[in-house]
Amino acid sequence: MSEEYKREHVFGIDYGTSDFKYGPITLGEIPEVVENRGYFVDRESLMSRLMDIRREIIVGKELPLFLESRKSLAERMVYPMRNGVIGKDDWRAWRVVEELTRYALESFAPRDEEFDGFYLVASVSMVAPRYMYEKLFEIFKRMNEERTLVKAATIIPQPLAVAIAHKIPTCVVVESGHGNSQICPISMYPIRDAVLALNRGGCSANTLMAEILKDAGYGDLAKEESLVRRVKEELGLLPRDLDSAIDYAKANPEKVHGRLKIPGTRIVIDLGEHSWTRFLVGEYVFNPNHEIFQSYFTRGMPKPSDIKIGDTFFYGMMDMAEAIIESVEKCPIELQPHLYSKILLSGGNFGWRVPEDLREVAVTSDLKLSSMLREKGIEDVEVKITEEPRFSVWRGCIVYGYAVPIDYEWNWNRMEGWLYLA
Amino acid sequence: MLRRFKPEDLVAAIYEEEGFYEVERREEGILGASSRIVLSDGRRELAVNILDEDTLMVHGAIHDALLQAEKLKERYSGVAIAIPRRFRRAVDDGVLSMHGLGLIVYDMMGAEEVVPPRFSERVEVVKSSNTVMEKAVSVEEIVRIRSDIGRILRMLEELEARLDRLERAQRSLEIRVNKIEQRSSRVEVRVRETPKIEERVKPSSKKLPSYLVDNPWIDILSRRE
Repeated sequence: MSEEYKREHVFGIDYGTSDFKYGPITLGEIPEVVENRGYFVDRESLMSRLMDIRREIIVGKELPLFLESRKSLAERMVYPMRNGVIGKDDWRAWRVVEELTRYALESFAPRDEEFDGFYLVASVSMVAPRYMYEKLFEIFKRMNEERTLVKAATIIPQPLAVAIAHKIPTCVVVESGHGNSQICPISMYPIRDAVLALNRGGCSANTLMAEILKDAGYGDLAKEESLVRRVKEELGLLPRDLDSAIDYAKANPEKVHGRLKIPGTRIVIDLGEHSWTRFLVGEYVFNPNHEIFQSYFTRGMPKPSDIKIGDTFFYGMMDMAEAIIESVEKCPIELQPHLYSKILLSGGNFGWRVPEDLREVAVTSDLKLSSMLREKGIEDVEVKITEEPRFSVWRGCIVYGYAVPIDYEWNWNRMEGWLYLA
Repeated sequence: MLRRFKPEDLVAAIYEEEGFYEVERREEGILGASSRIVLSDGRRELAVNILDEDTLMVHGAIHDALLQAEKLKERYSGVAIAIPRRFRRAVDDGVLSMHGLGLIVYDMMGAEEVVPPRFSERVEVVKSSNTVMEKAVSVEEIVRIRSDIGRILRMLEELEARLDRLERAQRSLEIRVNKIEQRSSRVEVRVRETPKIEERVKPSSKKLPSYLVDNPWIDILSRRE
């Protein structure tokens, strides 16, 4: 099998927390995207008997066609990668991963005789424990039961893929997803000993947004997760400095007034006199230590706690800049200035909007983090938000597969290389 | 189905814009290379010795290729060698440039001229002197005819390859139709369960996706061993 064959048959898969991105190198710039979820069909139900559905689980673009009642949705819909780690014995999540992987590979596997399997590059969370790698390789091997779909496979951490896609060999990648955030310094290789994780992500901001909605009189809507997320994305703001932003909001209530009409419904959300709380939502992701959040904790909002998942410790209350400094300081001193000079922010949790008339008090994530780091005495900082963050992990997978030689075989110590499966 | 370009096509393509066309292609019996193409713009002839990965696996292959290329300078106005991109670091640009040899790197996505070949004045002068008008015209005529033959041969090869692919596709379709006919007695809801989007696979293009162009990681990762 030649290098040329490998380069033509590189296949990337990004097991993201919300979306599952996949496709071969021939797709060019943009991969296929489906939601990272699976629906377990009730085979006893009248609907599945009528439709002669024989499969146990449905994934992919046609999943909504198979949904039944809202009650069964909660019981039967599985999001396997919600916090980046799947429990060893969570068989339902592993079934969804297997089905999504098969769906992706079969969608693109050519039928011609020359095809002898893809060179599959999969990407998972930096904090994924070793058993997840083992389980994934077992799944990839099972892909070849009917015909050869995977010639060889490898698994790389998502922050490495982000750095590769952005053409930066030395940097710190901060990946903030739904359930948590990971900070990973990279210098040609991911520096695994310096990885640091926070037990805060998009869901933390959702939790606070739900509390704000309750205070504003929308307690009934605060239970709908997708609606809360939407309100957060539309109305949430990231303050340059929280105290100044709150003062500004109270002095200029008309400028900060938060109102949102949900298209296609009769729902209108008006935060009214609570509009100043829009600034709390962004601040909470970056620094939950401000005294103003205490009132929410004392009223029952869960405080992000320190937890251990797999081999990784997730800090609950450490602020984002402090976490970056702690991570970088685990690296050699000579390397540290280079790492601070390229900090890449990746993931949907960094996409805060700045309305034109609030530029004075609201900022984007890169400006916020730069100023937090400068306050802590770090000079020469350059923070950048990744371009097209949805696709950068998949693109990094493609570059990785394209470049790594076919004779570089998988090694469990360095966690790199090709594992041949066919 | 993926369309695979030969290295010879990729190399010839980068000189097309400069007015060169292929006049000769040899894929066997070349000393120090796996194949050779000769390109001409009607005035100058450029010989490109192409080395594939298998050739380069042999110890000393690069040195042999360079010595053989040096010899070709007596016969052609310009000489270059083409190597797979992953062997790029095995050749020193400065040395090639000093000796007037060109360097081209290629991979399945395209080819790139790294060091341009130096064209010898002597051959150009001989060809442009036109001391005997009739002779000069007849040489150009010969070059044109050779170029036409080369083009026709390439078209034939391509047609042959297309026919092969069509025959394979037809066989595969026949098998699938037979299977569907066998199962036609049952209502098959499964059809909608696994949507096929193979149609979206684009043929491999000579243009690299943006994230692969000038990406320093390609060099870093290709040295993993």
